Amino acid sequence: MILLIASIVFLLVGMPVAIALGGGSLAEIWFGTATVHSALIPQRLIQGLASFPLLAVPFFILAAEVMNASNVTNKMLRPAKAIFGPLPGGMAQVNIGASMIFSGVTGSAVADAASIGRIEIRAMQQAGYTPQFSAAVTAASATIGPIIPPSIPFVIYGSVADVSIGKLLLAGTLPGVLMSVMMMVAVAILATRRAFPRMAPSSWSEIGVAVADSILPLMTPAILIVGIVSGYFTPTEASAVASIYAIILGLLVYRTINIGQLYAIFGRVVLQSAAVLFILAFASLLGLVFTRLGLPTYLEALIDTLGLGPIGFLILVNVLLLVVGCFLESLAALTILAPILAPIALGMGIDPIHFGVVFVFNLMIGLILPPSGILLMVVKDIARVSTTSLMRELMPFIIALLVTLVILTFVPSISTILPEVLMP
Amino acid sequence: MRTTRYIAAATLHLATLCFIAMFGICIVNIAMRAIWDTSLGWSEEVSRYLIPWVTFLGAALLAGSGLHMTIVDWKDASGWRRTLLRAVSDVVTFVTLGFIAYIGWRYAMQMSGRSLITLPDVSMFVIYVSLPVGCALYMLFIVLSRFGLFPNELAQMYVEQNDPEDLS
Repeated sequence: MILLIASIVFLLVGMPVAIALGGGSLAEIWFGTATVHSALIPQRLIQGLASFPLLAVPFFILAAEVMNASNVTNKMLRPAKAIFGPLPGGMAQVNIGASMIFSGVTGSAVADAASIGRIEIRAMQQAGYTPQFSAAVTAASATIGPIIPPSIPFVIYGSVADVSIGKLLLAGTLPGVLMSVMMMVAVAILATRRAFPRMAPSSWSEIGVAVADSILPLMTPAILIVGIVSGYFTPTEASAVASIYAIILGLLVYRTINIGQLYAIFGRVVLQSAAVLFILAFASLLGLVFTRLGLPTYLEALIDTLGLGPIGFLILVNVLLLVVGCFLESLAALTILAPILAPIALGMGIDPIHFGVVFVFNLMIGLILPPSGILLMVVKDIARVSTTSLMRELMPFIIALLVTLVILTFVPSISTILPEVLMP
Repeated sequence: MRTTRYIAAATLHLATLCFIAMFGICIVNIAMRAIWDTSLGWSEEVSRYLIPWVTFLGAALLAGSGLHMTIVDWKDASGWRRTLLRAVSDVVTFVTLGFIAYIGWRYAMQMSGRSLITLPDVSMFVIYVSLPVGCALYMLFIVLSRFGLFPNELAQMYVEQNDPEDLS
């Protein structure tokens, strides 16, 4: 109880999430009932970080940063225009298609919104769409980034919930495509009602030229998947290979970055990674305190008493995560709740890969929900629109994502089929 | 001001070099396995033990720039509320990190007799001391930022975004 109250108070006075979790944990150890020897605290903080799979977090950030700095994002928009432009809703469909393609390069929704999203919003506004709608499509489509591999949230989920990261990365592919299709359907419906323009169809040769021009960056997800599936790389090594591939493209093939810029990118990656990993270190301490308090056992017994069954439990988790996602930053929610909920799900016979996908998908929806949805903040600053007007335009996409969530919850095979077939 | 700039820059360079080492070790290991069918026995242990250094040094720099993830931003508050929230936040941060730095240092000293499994010449002290060093720098950078002495270029570097040319 002390832990909960202290952490919430610390978060509400504006303390960094990591320190709030650490301070709350220490308050419980000092004044509460959790018995933790002081030597365990530094040990836990270091060992929580010193995990080989976690190296994938900075490496995926590096790959995305290098691709952005190399202007590869521009190349991603061309095939998206050629393929998705003729659909009803023209540039809005291109926006979603480009995010789907770009998600194969970056594993972070914020990176997607802040890099390719910037170009997408500008292109949509020039095509006659309102800034509010352009920002709404961009925020919604950015949620695809962490679902299709590579994915930083899946790496963190796999690490804190002890689930195969390689399988989780593969599992996100079909749900990522499904959510893209659902959002494209939403755009098509809106296009019919609002008479949005569509672009002239491209010839096969134009599509071929656009794809050929961007084929090298487009190969990144293929390298990842083939490497992991063939067993040649671990997921961590795959993230390092994706980074070195991005560096080779930027430094030697396109020659859009030099060594000095590369060193600056490394520095930026250090700061961005530290922001994520610092929270993970303290979440690891929090996990230790939770265990000492017997919280997972208590929750398991409570859920047993409710007699929910796997489907009832999944629905409860969906509701819980959507509510939590409105108030808590997705990474904080992931690191706090995954170690508690994942063992319960496993105990109820829910496939850990399926549960991981549903868990992360919920948190991605949270990224576009007020008041703390980080994607809302990013796109509203880029497009210079108010949160209220942005929310109004986002509603159809939130509905599309909720429908996708329901499908993913009730049809586990969408998440599990690829890992089962490719990594038996 | 110049001294604080040197300290912040040295911290960033050290963290960046640790990251480059971590990345380089991984890449060299993969290349060696692909080309010569052999690998570095110590690569996994060394690269994962570099993560705490990257994290704690990077976290200290972010603290100085006020860039850590928060749920509520006291910068949005004004007047006495802002002063009060910042004071509460700083006190709790100093108590938490001060205690962790203290027990972290004691634990690092305890671990100085042990070494890495794959590199017996490297003491575990080198790994565990990252925690007290990181916490101490974190507190130092907060103090510097409160007096307006922390270099703001670091913050700019973090938020710097590519703004590629328009394609449409």
